[in-house]
Amino acid sequence: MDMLNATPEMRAAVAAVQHTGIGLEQPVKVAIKDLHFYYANGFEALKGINLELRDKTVTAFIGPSGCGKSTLLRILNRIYDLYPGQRVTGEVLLDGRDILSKSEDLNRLRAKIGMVFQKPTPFPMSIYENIAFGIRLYEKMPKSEMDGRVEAALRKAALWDEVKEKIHQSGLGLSGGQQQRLCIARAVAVKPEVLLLDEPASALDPISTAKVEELIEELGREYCIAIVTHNMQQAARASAFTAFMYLGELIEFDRTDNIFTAPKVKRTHDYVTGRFG
Amino acid sequence: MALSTSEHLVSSYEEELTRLAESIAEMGGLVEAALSNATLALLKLDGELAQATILADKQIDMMQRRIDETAVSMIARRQPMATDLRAIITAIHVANDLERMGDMAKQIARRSMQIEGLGLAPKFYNGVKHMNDLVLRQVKAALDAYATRDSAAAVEICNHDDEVDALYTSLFRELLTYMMEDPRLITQCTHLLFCGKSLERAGDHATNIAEAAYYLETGRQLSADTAEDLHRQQVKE
Repeated sequence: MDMLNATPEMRAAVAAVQHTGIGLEQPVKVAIKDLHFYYANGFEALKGINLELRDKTVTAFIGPSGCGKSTLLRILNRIYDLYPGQRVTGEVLLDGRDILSKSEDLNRLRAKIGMVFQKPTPFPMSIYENIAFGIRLYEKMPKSEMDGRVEAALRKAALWDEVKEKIHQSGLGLSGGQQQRLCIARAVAVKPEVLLLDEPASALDPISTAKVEELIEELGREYCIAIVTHNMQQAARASAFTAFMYLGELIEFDRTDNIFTAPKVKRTHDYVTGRFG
Repeated sequence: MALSTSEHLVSSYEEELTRLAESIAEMGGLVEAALSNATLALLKLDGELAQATILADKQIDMMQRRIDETAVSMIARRQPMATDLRAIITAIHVANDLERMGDMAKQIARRSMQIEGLGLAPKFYNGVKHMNDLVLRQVKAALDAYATRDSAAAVEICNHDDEVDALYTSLFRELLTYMMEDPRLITQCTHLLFCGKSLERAGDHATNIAEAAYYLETGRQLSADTAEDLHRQQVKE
């Protein structure tokens, strides 16, 4: 933004953004350029997406079912690679490096870009092992150091105080909300740079949802976070930027405040106000 | 930008929004009547009309409370977004401005009862009458701009507020002259001056309503936009 031409209100808004550590001043972490995605049957699920995700910022993706928001998230850590026949064109640059290139090491990539899914997916092992397991894939370290890493990850996911007494019990014994935070801890433990959250709170009760949202806000100060959600209030609460997608196209991308108070495109407006027919 | 042409998927929400807009229109009608009756009571020294105007203010206050409650309840239950959010927030603002205008009308009506019996030549009332006409036009135009979400008309109304202020300044000078000429008129003229002040304040509230109309339609604050325009002009020069 050209600060010379900014009104006092705009300056105040930017100052507020800087204060909370989110927003335009953060460098671009992920740049998506003319991204097209095709299913094996040839259906074009994404039609030329151009978008930038900024570092240390939460970006929300909203839109009706089938608009391509989850597909987009799945491209960012190349989960789509698991399905033969699906193909993608365009570029996704992580710190300027194209992660879609054939030479990209997928294990390294997925350590850098962590993902958390709608349903909690703890491994059938202890809470401790759920986290240590991922770390061991990438790093060797003595047990004492590993203990520290596990604790740090659980603390980051605001779960430590609730589980420190039973850290060697099964992760499956936790409540749904705790399991989801365990999955976030697991993603955070391998020191990712980007976190992808696909409907992370839709299977949780309001209290657990609030805890996960609190966590997203905390983690948003450290990571580049992309969150897909059907819950518009959640997007409004948790993100600094919001992207509205429809039928595989990015319709509008703006600061979250603008999307929910004064969207510029009629389709966005109709969707956020509940007028989508 | 006319974004809100299509209807809500939830029809009861649509009905609530319509009812809220109707309440504002109804309250606006009451306030217009109150202002016009108050000034009429002043000009004709009609005690009964003044009394009726004072009583009518209770209904205006009640409507403001009702609109406030409806708006708060809608925010809590519907989690409104975009134009809906702006419609509900501006309804709270506009109802507040209308309520204040109702108070202005009540004050004028009260003063008219005090002036009654003090006997003033008709020429003394000319300035107030003139102001009243202009302010009523502003109020009506502001309510229309709000109801029709007409941002261009809203800007126009805000620009006209200077005329009201200028009229008040000239009324002030005129009444001051009368008072200096004949100190026995100080009581009456002071009452009239305060009536003029009340009308000037009512004009400010009309401007607020126009600003709400602008925000409702555009999602931007008029004061911020005009400041930006000014700045752009200065940069050009």
